[in-house]
Amino acid sequence: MVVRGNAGSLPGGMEGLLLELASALRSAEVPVGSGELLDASRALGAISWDDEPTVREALAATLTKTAEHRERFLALWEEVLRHATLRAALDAQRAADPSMGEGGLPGEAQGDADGQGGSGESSGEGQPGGEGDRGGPGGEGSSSAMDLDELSRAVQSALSEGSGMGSGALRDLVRLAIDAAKQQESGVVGVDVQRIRRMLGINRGGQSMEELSDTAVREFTEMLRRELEEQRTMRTGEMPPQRALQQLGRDLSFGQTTDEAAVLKAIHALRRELAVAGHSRRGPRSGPVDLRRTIRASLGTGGVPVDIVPVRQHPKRPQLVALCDVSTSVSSSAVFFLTVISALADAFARLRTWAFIEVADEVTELCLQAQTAQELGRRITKEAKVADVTGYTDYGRVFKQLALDLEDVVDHRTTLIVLGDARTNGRDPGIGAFASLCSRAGRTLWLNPEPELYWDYGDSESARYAKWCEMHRCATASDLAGLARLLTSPGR
Amino acid sequence: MDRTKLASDLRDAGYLADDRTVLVSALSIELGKPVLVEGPAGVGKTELAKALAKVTDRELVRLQCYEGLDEARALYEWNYRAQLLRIQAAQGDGWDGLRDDLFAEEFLLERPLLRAIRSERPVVLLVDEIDKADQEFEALLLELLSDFQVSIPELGTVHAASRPLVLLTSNAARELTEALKRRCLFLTLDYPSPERERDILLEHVPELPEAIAFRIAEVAAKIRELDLRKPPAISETIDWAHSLLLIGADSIDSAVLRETLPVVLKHRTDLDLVADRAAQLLGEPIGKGSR
Repeated sequence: MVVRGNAGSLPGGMEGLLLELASALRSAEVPVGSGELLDASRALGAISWDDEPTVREALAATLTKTAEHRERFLALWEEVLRHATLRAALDAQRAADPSMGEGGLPGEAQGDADGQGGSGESSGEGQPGGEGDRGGPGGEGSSSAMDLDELSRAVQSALSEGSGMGSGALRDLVRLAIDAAKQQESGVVGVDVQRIRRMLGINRGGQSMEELSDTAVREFTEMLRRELEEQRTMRTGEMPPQRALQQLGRDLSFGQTTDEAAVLKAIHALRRELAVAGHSRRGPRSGPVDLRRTIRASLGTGGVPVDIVPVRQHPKRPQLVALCDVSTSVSSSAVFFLTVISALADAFARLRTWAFIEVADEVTELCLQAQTAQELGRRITKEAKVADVTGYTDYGRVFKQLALDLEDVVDHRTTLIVLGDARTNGRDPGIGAFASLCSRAGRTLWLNPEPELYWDYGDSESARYAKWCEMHRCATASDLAGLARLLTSPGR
Repeated sequence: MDRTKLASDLRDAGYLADDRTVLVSALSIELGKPVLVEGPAGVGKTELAKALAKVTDRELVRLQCYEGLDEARALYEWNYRAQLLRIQAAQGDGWDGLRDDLFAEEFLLERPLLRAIRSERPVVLLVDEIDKADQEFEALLLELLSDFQVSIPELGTVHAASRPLVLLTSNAARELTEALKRRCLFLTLDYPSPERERDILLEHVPELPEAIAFRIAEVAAKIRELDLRKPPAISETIDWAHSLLLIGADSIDSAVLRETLPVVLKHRTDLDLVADRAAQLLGEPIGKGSR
């Protein structure tokens, strides 16, 4: 709608959108200079704003200069556009009703959101304004006598037919689902998304997952999130926070070869940082005198010790023990984990690594031999004994085994690093064994690939583990940057 | 610039452009900015420049980049031989008389870049495979691309007589410098969808039956999905269409595919891989085609 003709409906007009876009791009590490912005606004002057794809492509051509940046632009575009549209809708609502309390009449607000929603998604629905579709889905939503099973079936069949079907029909289903879940609404969008997905049986681990393609599920989740956010915004009058690129396309960070390059770059930086870590924290030149070297140095001055040489202090390097979950539930991050491990193996001579799924097996040797993370992954599945029956992670069994196996390995000088998603698949989490491991180790870090929002949801036992260790999110190249600091910092 | 007209003009010139390509081309003409076209080999980057030259009725000046390309090859060079002759012929004249002559236009050898901006009629300048040239060479382009002028020490600054339409193509073999990218619009080209490739095939091989054309496009798309050293380019599928026409094949089965594969694939390992998967590649579309 923003781009459909009247830029005046946007605060700051098209420039506002452009600047918002630029700042979003900059925060996604796409360099956008004022030169690019000038080009972009000139390009906007040269085209008509009737057609969203045209505007998008004109901006993409002027603002981005590599294929990777273009991808990021496309990932951000919808979000920024939607944000701008939402703000415009909110302003319009405020203008219409200056008091704008909670009274904001759910029905009314929703109707408004409906109208505005169309443009964020696809410009296919050609309603001239927000009025046209107010009656349809809104009315249907209120009379939702649709039975939950029926709804779940309808959504699943809509999803399995693929995204080819008009997004309008799916959107109606999404609204029905939101209405059905209204009683239990928590107010936190991420939680509600999960709840509704579960309610409809569209969840990881559900039987329906095999039939549904990942993209369909992702699209649905995305739509659900948007719808919830829009409704919430119109109700409360607060703009949702703008999401960073990582949350928009989680697979973006290491799906493609280019992204692998980003990870490798971060690893490279990590290596450098680890190599010098500890050196900078050396104290002033004081402490015990190295007698031998002081006398050596004094020979030049006829035996008068002019230069007092203190005993050399070696930087403290912790002894690392890494435990890495290589099961399929973390398969997207397993390669990432293994890349981290192989970087650590380079930097720390005293790193021992155990890989685990249902059973743990030491893979220190393999880590040293394998050249790449992919090769390491292949060799672990082939040569190490990590899986037993089901191939699902069994933390309880692994921790119990490790508590015995690592008896002589882990002591107070050891830093224990666990890489895993803390999803127990409903099995015993083995908290006791984990706690005894942690208490023996000097320090325990848990690197979890999931965003914090998902911790403790479903079969995740993050909080119970986190009681015994420091749990950090680590899934993207940028998270890695913090890891070096984490590893060499004194800890709690 | 009317985009629908540009699209149909490009089509008339034998280039089937998608919306994005048309849009960026139109923007480039409108804003007078160079376009950086990136994409795998054989998706029609160079063809786009040729078609644009045809559409805008301009001469195409092409600079093929390679490692070690330098000023003398890209911009200008003094014709040393002629200069030597001039010196010899002027035996007896003083240096003063000679000096002005020696660096005259007469002895200047124009290379593509200089030719492009000195041409009275506007041209289309194609800097092909810029990623193959050295980084120093990019620096040379900067002045040209932003101000359309070139400084030649002996002659002074040469301003563009006409504004050329500039296209740079890159296979992304190396990262280009930020400075260069900043001066350009960016266009990525990818392999076409089967529908578009069918149209391209029909455009270039008009006598090809439509069903076969689509089949070729479909199989080509499948082949490109495999992990190949060099996926088939559009020009290669066109060659393929020609050769299928020549041998009079009216459908593609495994035998035909194996026989004609060397037209499309130029690596031994690729050939083996595709030959192995021939049945799988062809399998599903046959079922689809029979309905």
